[in-house]
Amino acid sequence: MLAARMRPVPITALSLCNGMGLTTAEIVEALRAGRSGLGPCPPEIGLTMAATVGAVRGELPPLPARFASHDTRLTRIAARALAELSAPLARARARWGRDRIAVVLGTSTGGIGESELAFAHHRRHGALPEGYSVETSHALDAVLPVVCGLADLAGPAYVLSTACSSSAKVFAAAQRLIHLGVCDAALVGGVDSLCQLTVRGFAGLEVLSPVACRPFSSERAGINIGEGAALCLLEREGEGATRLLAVGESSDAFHMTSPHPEGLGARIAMERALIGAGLRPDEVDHINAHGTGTRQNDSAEGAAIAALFGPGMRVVATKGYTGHQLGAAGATEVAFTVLAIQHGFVPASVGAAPVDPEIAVRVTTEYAAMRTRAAISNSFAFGGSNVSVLVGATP
Amino acid sequence: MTPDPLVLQLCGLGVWTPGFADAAAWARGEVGRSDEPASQTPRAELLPPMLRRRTSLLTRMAAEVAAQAIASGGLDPAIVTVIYGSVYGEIRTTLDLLGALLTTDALSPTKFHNSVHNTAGGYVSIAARNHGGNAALTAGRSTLAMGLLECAGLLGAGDDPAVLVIAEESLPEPLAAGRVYGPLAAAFALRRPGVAGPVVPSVQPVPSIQSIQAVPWNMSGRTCRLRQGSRDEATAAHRLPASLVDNPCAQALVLVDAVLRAEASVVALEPQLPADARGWLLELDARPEVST
Repeated sequence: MLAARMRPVPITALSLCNGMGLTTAEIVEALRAGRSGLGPCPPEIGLTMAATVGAVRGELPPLPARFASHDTRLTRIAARALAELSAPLARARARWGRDRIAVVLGTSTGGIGESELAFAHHRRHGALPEGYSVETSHALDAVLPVVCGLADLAGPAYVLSTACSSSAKVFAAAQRLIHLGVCDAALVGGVDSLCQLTVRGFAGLEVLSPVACRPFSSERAGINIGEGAALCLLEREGEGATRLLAVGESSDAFHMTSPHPEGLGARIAMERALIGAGLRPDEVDHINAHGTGTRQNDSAEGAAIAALFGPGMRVVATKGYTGHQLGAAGATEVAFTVLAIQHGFVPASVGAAPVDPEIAVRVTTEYAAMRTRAAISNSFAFGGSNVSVLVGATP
Repeated sequence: MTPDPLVLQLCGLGVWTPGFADAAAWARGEVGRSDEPASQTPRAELLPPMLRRRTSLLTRMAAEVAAQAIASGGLDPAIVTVIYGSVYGEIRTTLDLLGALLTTDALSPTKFHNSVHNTAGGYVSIAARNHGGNAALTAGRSTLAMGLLECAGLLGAGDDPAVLVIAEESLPEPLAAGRVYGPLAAAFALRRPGVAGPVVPSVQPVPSIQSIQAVPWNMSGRTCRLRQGSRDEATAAHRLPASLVDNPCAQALVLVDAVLRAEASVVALEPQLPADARGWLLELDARPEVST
């Protein structure tokens, strides 16, 4: 069960698009400045309730005509993030060959937003709207032909969907595929789009905060839903200031939606990441927490981190910037962790002050310029699915 | 010499589709003598009744075939890594939620958490007290191929054994728009080559597992190899009931048929690709003689 040690994989490029901005540069700037991307839900999402969300704001142009059947809010967000990677992808294709680059993406919503509209249309008119197809509009894998087509990649391609840990799992899968030898590089990441089902689903669970979420704060009142995309290019060899060291995965085996109260599964995932990388806890400099802003998550995760790393561990929660992007959250927060290493800072956990005194770790409430040798990004999900992605500075 | 990392050892099998409760029933049906009573609901005894009553047909099928593959492979349900492949996942639960969205009612929290793609993975891990990292994936009609690659990746990384579960419900209207096919599920227990014999349980197995009959033939040492090639290289025959042919995961049952036969064969894992495209194939060695 304990995974073998695998070689670190350089992270040679990354791209982000979310409520903080349409480009990676805007998002890095917002992260430095402690500027949240949360706000009221824009009308085009069609929410039937008021909610504070992390919505992608601005123009999302239609996909090229050859992808018209797959043109959804989700694939447009993915295409927006992909557009920034055209140069590194061209270089990677020239180096490895297009059939030697895998695509492993995480999503939890897929095109469910399209199905909401289609189902309502069917109720009114007795027929599905023109252009809707469950295969190309709804399916979780419908994003693959768009991303593989736009990126001109032909290696193994699949979608992992484990709710809110989906796009953290993709890093584990890609590292294994490269180790296995079926590819030399992988485009990994996650994408989710705002829709009724997730916002009203979490409302049904009574965990939505009406105002901007404040993970780890004594004044926190729940989560906000967000949307966005995060993509990373992993290569067997290459120039990258940061490397994927190891990924730890576990299941709570406890409850479908509630974390184990002491964070047992979270702790196992972090331990497995350390073992996989051959690192001691004191060689990790900060942790990007799952940090959703629910009391249950924050206290279980805080307890797990404190138990493994001690109360001095620096912990940052970034969902106060983006909201909980569900299937895109994992890759977004891995990308934030990579950016923290590259740019030499740990962002403020926006909204965390005053920190809940029951959280027994050092939550960063202010921006801190500091060098990070290695850091963990945690993602936890329904079904008790836990993933800890460990990345480190290239020596 | 480094062993070929794409060589896998198939050590256990699970099958469920309406009328065929397990691999033995499927094998008998295949030769045209099925006298099994048509069972329309999987037993899914792995799940305690309290959990099971909340689950969909998809999750029950997945739990049932996972348990069959684990038991027939002599594995411990607490320490296998299970990978779930499905194209539309919990589509019927999702459709219920789409209906509820048109009302002002609050969404059912149970239906909401049961609509995720890793629903079966969550329930099975809870029932089996499995702290491993299960996953759920989809790649459309390449789901079987990509699921096997994901398992090969796990085994190559030392995460052994792995079980691939493929499960697909029928598509409900109106989303189906006329696509009609029956539900099916299959599971394949996989180990690294050269790792023989049952896994010694580290903890007491879930009691209900012990009541599941092992598949009555020995598959230990059934070696198979993933490789790329043309679908025209496939030798495995297609003998699926008409009701299952259009199920996007139907190829999982073609693979089951190949595993149940003794002779060597090649299964096209991506038969939807054009013949001149390179797709993933699975080559099965002939079943070794079982000494008794």
